[in-house]
Amino acid sequence: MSEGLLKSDALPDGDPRGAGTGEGTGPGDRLTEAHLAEQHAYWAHRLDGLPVLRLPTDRPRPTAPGTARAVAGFRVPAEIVEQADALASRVGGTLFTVLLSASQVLFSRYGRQQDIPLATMATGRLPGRPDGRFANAVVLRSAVRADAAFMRLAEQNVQLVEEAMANADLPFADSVNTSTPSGTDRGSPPAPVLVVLRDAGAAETPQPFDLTIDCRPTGTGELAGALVYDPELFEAATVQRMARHLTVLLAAAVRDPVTPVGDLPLLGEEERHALLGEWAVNQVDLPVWPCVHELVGERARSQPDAVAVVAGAGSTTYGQLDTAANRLAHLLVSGGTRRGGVVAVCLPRGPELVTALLAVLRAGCAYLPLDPGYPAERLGFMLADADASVCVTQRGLVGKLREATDAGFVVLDELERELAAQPAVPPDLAVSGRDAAYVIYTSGSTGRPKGTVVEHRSITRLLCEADYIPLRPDDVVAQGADASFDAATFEIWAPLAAGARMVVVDKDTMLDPVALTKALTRYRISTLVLTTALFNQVAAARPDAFATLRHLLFGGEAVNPDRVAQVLAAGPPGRLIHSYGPTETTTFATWHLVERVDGHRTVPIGRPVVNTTVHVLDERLNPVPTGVVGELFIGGPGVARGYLARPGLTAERFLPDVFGTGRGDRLYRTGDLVRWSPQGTLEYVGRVDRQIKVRGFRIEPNEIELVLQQHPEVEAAVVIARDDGEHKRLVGYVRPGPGHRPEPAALRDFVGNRLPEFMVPAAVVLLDDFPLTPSGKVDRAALPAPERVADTEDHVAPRTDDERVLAAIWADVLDLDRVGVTDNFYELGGDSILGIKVVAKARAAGVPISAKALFRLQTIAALSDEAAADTAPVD
Amino acid sequence: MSGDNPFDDADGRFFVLMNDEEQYSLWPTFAPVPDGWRVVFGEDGRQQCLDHIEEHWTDLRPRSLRDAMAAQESQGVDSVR
Repeated sequence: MSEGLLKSDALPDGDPRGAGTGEGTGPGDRLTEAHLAEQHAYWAHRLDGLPVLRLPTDRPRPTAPGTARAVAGFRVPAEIVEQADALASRVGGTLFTVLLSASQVLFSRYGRQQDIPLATMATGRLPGRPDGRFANAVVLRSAVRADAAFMRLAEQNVQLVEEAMANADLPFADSVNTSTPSGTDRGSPPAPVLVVLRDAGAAETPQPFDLTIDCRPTGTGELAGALVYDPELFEAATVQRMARHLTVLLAAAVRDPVTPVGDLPLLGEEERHALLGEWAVNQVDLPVWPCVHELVGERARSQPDAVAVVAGAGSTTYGQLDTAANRLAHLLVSGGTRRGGVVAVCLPRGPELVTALLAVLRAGCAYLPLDPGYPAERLGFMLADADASVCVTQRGLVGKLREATDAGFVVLDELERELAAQPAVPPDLAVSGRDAAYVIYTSGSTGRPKGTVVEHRSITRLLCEADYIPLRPDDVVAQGADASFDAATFEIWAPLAAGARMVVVDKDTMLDPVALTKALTRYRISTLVLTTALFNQVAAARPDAFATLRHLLFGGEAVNPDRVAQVLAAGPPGRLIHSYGPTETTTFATWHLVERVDGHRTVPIGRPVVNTTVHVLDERLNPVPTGVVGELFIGGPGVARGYLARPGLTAERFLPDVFGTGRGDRLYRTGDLVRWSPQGTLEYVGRVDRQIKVRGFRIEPNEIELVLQQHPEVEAAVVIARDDGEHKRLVGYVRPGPGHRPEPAALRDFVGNRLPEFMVPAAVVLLDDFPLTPSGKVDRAALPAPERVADTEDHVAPRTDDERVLAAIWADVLDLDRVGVTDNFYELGGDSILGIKVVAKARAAGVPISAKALFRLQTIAALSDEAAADTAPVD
Repeated sequence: MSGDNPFDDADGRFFVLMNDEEQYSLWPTFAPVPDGWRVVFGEDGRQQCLDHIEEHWTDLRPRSLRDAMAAQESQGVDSVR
């Protein structure tokens, strides 16, 4: 074995093991079996339940680990090294302790992980040979708490390093096998990152690690650092960023060691500028924030005879729309509505609806759109909750609404004479950009819907200088969303503000790909907005359906890159736009022009739309670096006023803009998890509240769903965590593509080749259809529990004593009557935690198997075959 | 980082903040109070802070709009932009 690999620096002075030269001669130097057993016990305790370090890799891990290595260099200036040395002395440690602590913080921030295992090199003694030495890797495992001062972490590491060095005689592989690493990634070492501080002249370290942080002092007092990495896992740019983050973090930590480690900066000047400025802010200053109805009024004055709304065979001009809205506005005002009041509008989609919405705004009120199809109870809740004084509707709907409310009605088709008698000019009313324009209800997490109050300026910020879809007067926009969804905000007001034409497309047509395609050509529709679900449906049936469009915008749910690729190949629209936006920041917050699909990555949601700001922040509201998952916060004039009559909830979700200009602006906290791609586009990852913690790992089910959906035989996938009494396990539900019947085991393998083991569903269930909620979303609570019965037809009874022991243990752990030797552990409901139980019980019963072998081989037959091969005499 | 989000921590310590538009926000005490905001209640427990907000933030309109509408009502003139 080579010598001199040890950073002698890491050891306490005078420690005979510290010299790293193989010449130690202390009395405690003789290595006995008893010593080894003690060290075995130390590591078993220390590494119990060892987690996998989550690395920000750019590519999935190849089945066979790559041997190539590349290097990104960095320097730590002498001044920082001096401060680091000073801090090391203060805590009774060494420069290595400080470097280790900084590295732990770095990976803790990257992986949003608290339990951090890193490796370093130590010198181990060889048994039976007083002078025998070998270079040995040891695992340094620390709990990194975001609110703990950096100095505390360094202090805690002093003892950790000493202990590890004193127990360095057990070879690395044995020490990590002592414990049963839970969630071990296929093929990845339990501590895939090595941190070393070498003597100036010392040889390089062997590199079985994904990443090595390799530092050595230089003559000038600097540290010369190298990040040595596996280029199959990382892009050069990612590792270069990593090196910058480490140096920024280290400098800040030693300068101000009482800073909580969660608040230590990571970003260099350039990245900070991109993340908080160039990529994040899209601001176009407007001299005033006009009201929505003023924008429409301007068009009505300049082009009164142009067609504004087309529905079926009929059409309404801008002039007609404007006049009708003015008359209704007068009627509302004379009926007693006041500026700032809420007026409900319950009408089918069509010119009357558009007229009514415009009239409510002209009357200085906010409209509450009510879907006539909603149950009376739900309508009643919204009318009462919003305190709507009056409801604009038509004769046919009054009966239903009367059940729901005692508000007054304005029944349009019964008031034709009264309306005709009203003035054709707008009522003389002041309305500002800060007045409320509408209230839209969304489902609340507590089950009680909440009404988002949106101001005029939030809408007009979408319509003026619209970069995501620059509409022209010759555009024809499909109006396909119900007014109670905020996509209708764009579909209605964007064409009317641009002097373009809106075509009402009824629900049946929207849901029928063939009919929709016909409608697109018949009405010469240029601009279409679809939910992702609808987009997928149409793309599957008619991938070329959108070829005649100028703009196609889709979004709202997790995207399926395959469908997007199909559309791009078959005949894409002029501009294919993937967008994202919660109701609370008014329809669209981000957009991405889709020009290609990259197989490895999702389709981004892009960058902010005009007059919108986005930030990706961790739980302490610090910006996360490129590639790291954080929560999306949205700012700018699109941020809604809040939730109607829900001040507490509003104060929780609308937070001070910590990156603002100090004017008291607010950011909306979306609850959506995203990350910045290196190209500066946002990628959607999942919902914070769907995040699952299984065995301490945070898992975004959406990430697993996306991978399952990449399987050629899978149409759609849902992943949930099921609580089966004792513990949680991941279950995947898959709707196969037409004519396909993928094997659950093959799907698990497919995921296992792309994601860490702790993200592989313990069971995969094929379903012809997912259960749906009344609103058409997958009803996760109604998904069936996977069957946990061994296959009785193919039952193969155990053939040897060892197999009988294992079969009995499996049956016990999995709570089954019997288990055959060809039954798959994971398909029977096993997972890593249950696997650990099996391994422990098997060992106790004298049939040693490893958790890794169980994970790899999965059946009793395969395990005993391998055991037989291992013990077979070698020729 | 692992652990519960300090902004949602039911056992955490919080301030109630207010900006010039008299909009409220719930703010954990560990984070510095941002420019443009002032502490109007706390520190106290999360529920106490939420109760304070529920009790005092009875009109969600921004102050500039409230003032403008009040001026309009008393004078009967357009004054908001």
